[in-house]
Amino acid sequence: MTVPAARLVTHDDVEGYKHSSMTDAALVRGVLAGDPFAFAALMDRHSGVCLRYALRVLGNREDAEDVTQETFVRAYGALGRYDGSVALRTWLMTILVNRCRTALALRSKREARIVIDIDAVMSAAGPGTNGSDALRDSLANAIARLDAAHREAFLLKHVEELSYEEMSLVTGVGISALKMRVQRAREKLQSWLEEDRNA
Amino acid sequence: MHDRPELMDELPEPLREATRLLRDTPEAGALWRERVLREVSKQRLPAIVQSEARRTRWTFHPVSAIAAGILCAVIGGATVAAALRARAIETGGAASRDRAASQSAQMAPMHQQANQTSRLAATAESQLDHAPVRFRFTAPGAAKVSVAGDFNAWNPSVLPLRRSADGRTWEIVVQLAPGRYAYAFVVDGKLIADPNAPQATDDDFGTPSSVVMVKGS
Repeated sequence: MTVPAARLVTHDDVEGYKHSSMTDAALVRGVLAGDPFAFAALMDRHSGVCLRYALRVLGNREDAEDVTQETFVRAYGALGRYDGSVALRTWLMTILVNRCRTALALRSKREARIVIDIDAVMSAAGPGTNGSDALRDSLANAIARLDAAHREAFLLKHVEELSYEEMSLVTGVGISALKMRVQRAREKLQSWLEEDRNA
Repeated sequence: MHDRPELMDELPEPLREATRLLRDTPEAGALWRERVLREVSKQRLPAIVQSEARRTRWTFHPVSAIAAGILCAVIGGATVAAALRARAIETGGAASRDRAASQSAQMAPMHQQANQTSRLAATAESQLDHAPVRFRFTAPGAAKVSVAGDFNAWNPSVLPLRRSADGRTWEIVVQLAPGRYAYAFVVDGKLIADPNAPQATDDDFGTPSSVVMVKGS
């Protein structure tokens, strides 16, 4: 009997190639079945997105990498509980958002204000034209000025592009409150961008 | 990176453009990757566990309550009988011993009944949330039909359907816990979505599959 290759975990071909074409659900099953390459493939697929969010929230590369590492280590241990009722990315974001919140809370106890390493944030984002660099820098600066709750809501909605339902699952905050936070964040950011442009 | 116009429309310019630029994904780096995999390798392989909701949810079902009540009554009766027997032994006498013996004889089947009741209660408890789901597929010309899905790890060989008497349809009833399951029929080796069920829009595999929602009690 033939079953489509997507549903079979085989080791006939190069592992990296095979795993890159497997879906999240298949990779999770692979991890639980003891496939040594499956988790690496999951990480490769989702680490960039997680790092992106952590960088915007925490503002420096070192903390972002630490938090993203914690996220994946925790995710590995909890993979047996992942039941597929939400997208794996949403599930990972739930862990990541909580890790970021914890990191921010710990940091705020140590420091009077959060220090943002803008160069690290900018260099992490990749190259662009001069004009787009400036625009991106300007927004990144503005996002860093938001308080944690508004920053979190704006990033999840407009950068990570989660639905409000997903955001509610990830953050534990009600949808109405999230919408208000996103709206307020948009207004502030728009205002600050305008100020930047006019300055 | 991808653009989603419906999302972009919510943001005014220049915020919209700047946000789009923020979606560039940074590289995690080989050293970081290695560090994480090394950390992960120290952990035990994750095991499949029941969902948190099922494990921590507290429900009181009539069958459980009745079974628990019977069990308590039996235990109470056995305790009283044991006390009476102990008193009979202390006071001595053939008549007392006879009475105690007959009470023990009566208690033996009650103990067995208690054990059976607790087993039934445990079985009933574990199956409380499960609901029967009938999978039916019309394929008069097929030689073999089975169902594969999230509930059986997409294994096409564990749930074969039984052919009906008229030979046209295939059917199986499966007990499923509440939840959402993607599935498909495997008809002579080929995956086919259920024409009578909603199609899965989020199918990860790019192959046809359907969705069944099983509601809890």
